[in-house]
Amino acid sequence: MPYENKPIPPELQDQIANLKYLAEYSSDLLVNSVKIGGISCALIGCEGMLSTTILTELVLQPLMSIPPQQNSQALFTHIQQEMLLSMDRPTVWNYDDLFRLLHSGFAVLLAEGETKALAFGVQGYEKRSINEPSGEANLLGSHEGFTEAIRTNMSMLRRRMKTPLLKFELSSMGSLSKTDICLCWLTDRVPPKLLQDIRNSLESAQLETVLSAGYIQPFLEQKRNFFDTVSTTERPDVLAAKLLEGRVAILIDGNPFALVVPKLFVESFQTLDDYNFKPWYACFLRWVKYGAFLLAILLPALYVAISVHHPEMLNRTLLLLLSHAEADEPLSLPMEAIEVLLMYEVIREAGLRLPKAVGGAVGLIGGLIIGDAAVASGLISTPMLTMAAISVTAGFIIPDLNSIITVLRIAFILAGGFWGLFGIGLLGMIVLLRVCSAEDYGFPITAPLSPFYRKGMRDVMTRVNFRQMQSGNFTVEEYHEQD
Amino acid sequence: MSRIDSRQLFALLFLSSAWNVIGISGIYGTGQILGALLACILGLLLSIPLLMLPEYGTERIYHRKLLCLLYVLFFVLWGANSLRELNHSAPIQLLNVSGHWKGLVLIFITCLLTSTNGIKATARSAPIILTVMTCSALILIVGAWKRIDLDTLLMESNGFKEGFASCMTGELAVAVVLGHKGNLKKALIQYFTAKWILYSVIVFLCLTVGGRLLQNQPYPFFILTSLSQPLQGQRADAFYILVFVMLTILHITLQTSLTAHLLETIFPKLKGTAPISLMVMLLLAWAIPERVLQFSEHCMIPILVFAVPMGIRLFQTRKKVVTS
Repeated sequence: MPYENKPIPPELQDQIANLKYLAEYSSDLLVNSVKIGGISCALIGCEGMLSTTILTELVLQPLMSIPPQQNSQALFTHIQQEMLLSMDRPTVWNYDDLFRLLHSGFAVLLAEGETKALAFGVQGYEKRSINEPSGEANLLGSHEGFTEAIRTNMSMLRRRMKTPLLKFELSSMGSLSKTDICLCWLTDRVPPKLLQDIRNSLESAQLETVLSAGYIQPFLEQKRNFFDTVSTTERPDVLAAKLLEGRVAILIDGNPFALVVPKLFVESFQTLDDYNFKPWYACFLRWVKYGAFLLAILLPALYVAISVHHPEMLNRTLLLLLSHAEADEPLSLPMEAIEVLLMYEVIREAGLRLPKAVGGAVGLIGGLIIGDAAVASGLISTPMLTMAAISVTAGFIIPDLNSIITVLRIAFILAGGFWGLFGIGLLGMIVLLRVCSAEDYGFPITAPLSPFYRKGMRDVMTRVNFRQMQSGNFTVEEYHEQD
Repeated sequence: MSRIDSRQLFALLFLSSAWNVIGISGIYGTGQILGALLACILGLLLSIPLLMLPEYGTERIYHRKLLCLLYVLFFVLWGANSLRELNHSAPIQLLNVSGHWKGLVLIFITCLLTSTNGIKATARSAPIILTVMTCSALILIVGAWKRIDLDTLLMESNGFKEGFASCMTGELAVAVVLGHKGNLKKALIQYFTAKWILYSVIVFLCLTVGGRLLQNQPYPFFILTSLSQPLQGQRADAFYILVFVMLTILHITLQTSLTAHLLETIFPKLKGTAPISLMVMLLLAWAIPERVLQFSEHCMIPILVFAVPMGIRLFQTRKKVVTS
C-alpha cells in the first residue's frame, strides 16, 4: 500500500495534501478546514459513512465552543481530557489507520503542528434492519437473525450473554477491503491453545478482500475434506448456545453469517426448536432427521441397485409394479434417476437465483408441469419420480448438509447402478472413512459417536430435559484429541 | 498419534477378525466351537506380557526401528494373505454383481482411497460399522430362528483343529501396536469374548439351519444367509454383500494403514506410505505361495504378541535393577 505506516506530517497543508493524494482525490472524501480554539484544523469524513446529525450535535458544536488554546498540543489535550465527544475515540498516528477509520465511519480531526489525529466514532451508514433468518427458521424461538453490520451482530450477542466472560476481539482482514472481523468466545470455556490456533489460521490468510464467510472458511479448515469442519449460523441465539459449549465464533463485517469452530457432524441435525419442544418430541424429530439424511442420500441409489441387480429383494407385488412401470421407459434406471435429479437441481437453481415472485412460478412450472409432462410422455416413470421426490424432500430437513447430499446422492446412484449393493458398500466405506478423518484443531467431527462419549449422547441419540442438561458443564473440549 | 480408546480398539480387532470368521472355509461340527474357545484363551494368555507393560508400553516399539520393521513385515504378510483369501472368496460373493476381477480391482481401489485417511479415521469408523454389523447379525438370527433344528447339532462333534486355526489370527499384533494401558485390558477381554460368541453363533446356525447341507461346502456363512430369510417372499442375501464389503474394506484398510503408520515412523520423510504398503501386499500375494504366507503369518504371531512385549518387559526390569 502507498500509505502503509506513512506518518502524519506536522503541517496541516501537507497533511491534507497527502490525504488527497493518497485517496487519489476520491469524491467521497470530505475535508472541512476550520479554526478550533484559534488553531487551524481540518475535520475529515467519508461521505455516506457517518451520521451528520450525530456529527453536528456531538462533535461539531462542542468543538466550536472550545476557548482559545496556546497551540495544537494544548488543543488535543483539552479535547482528550476534558471533552467526551464520542464513546469510541482512538488516536491515529499514520495514514494506514487514518484511512481504515475514515472508511469505517469515523470523523478525523487534524491540527496544524500535530503529528497525530483524533478520530470520533460517528458511524451512520445505511444498513439492513434485523430480520428473521431465511435459512434457519424456527417456530418457538427468537425471530432475530444477524445483519450485515458487525457491531449490530456483536450487540445482539451481547444482549443474550450479559457476562464479562464473553469476549470480543476486533481486527481487520483483507489488504484492500480492511474488513472488520471479530473473534467471540467465553473466556472460561475456550482453551487458550484453540484460540491461538484460530488466530494463527486467520493470520495465515493473505487476502485482498473478505466479501463473505466463504473467503475465510478455507483458512480455518486445517485439512482438506469433503465435509465442512466449520459451521455457520445466522442466529444470535444459536451462536450463544455454541459459545456456551466452548466454541469460538468469527463475525465478519458485511456478512450475516457467523463462522463457528469446531464443528461436529451431529450439529447439522440440531435446531433451536429441539430445545423448545418436549424432550420426547424433540427426540422423535431427531430420529426423523437421521432417517431423512439416509433416505436423502441412499433412497434413489437403493431403488436403482435393487431393481437392476437384486430384484429378489423385492416382493412379488412390488416387483410386478416396478417392472410394469419401467417396461416402456427409454432410458436405463440409473440414467433415469440422474435425469430426474439433475432436472430438479436445474429447477431449484433457477428458482433460487430469480426474483422471489418469479422463482416461485419457476418452482411451480418445474415441479408440476415438467414433472407431469415427463411422466405422461414416458420419459420418466412414476416410481422413479416418487423416489426422487421423497429423497429430495428428505434432504430439505437438513439444509446444512444439502450440498453434500446433492453430490453424494448422484454418486451413490452411479455406484448402485453399475455394481449394485456391492458398489454402494464400496462408496459407503469411502464416504464413512472420509467423514471419520475430518477433524480440525484436534476435534474429530464424528464425536461424540466415535470417539464415543456417553455424556454427549444425551443430546444426540436423545434430547434430555434441561433439568438433566443443566448439570455437567459440558464443553466441546471434552472431545479434543491430543496429538 | 492420539490414543485410540478401548471401544474403537475393540471394534477394530473384532471387525477385522469377523471378516475371517464369516469367511470360514467349512463347517465340520461342534468341535469347532471348542477349538475356537481354546484359541481365544490361548490368545488371552499370550497377551499377558503385553498387558503387563507399564504405561503406554507399546511406545517402546516405536523407538526401535528394527522392531517397527518386524511389525511392518508381519502386517504386509498378513495383508497379502488377506488379499489371497479375498481372491478365493470374491468369485462366490461378487461374480453375480460385477465379475471376479472387476470386483477385486474395485476393492483394491477403494482400499487405496480409504487407507490414505490414516489409522485414526479407520479406528473411528469401526464402532459405526460394528453397529451395522450387529443389526445384520440380528436380522440373520431372526431369519434363521424358524429353521433351527437342534437334532443336527448332535450329529457331528469334530472340527476342533479347524476351529482353533480360524480363531488364531493376526489381530493381537494390531493390539500391540495400537494398545496402551488405558484401552488394552478392556478391549482384549471384550474382543476375545465377542469373537468367540460370533464364531460360535455362526457355527451353531450353520449346523442347526444347514445341517448336512453345509458340510463340505466352501464359505458356508453365505449359504446360511441364503437359507435364513427374515421375510416371506423377499430375499435378503444381497444385504450381506454390503456387510461383507464393509468388513473387507475395513480389514484391508486396517492392515494397510498400520503398515503405512509404522513406515512413517521408520522413514519420516517417505511419502505415499499407504499406496506403497498396499502395492507391496498385492505383489507378495501374487508372488508368494499361499501356504508359505499362512505359515509365516502364524509363526510370527507368537513372536510379535508374546516375545516382543516380554522382551521389552524384561529389558525394563533389568534397567530398573541396574539403575537402583
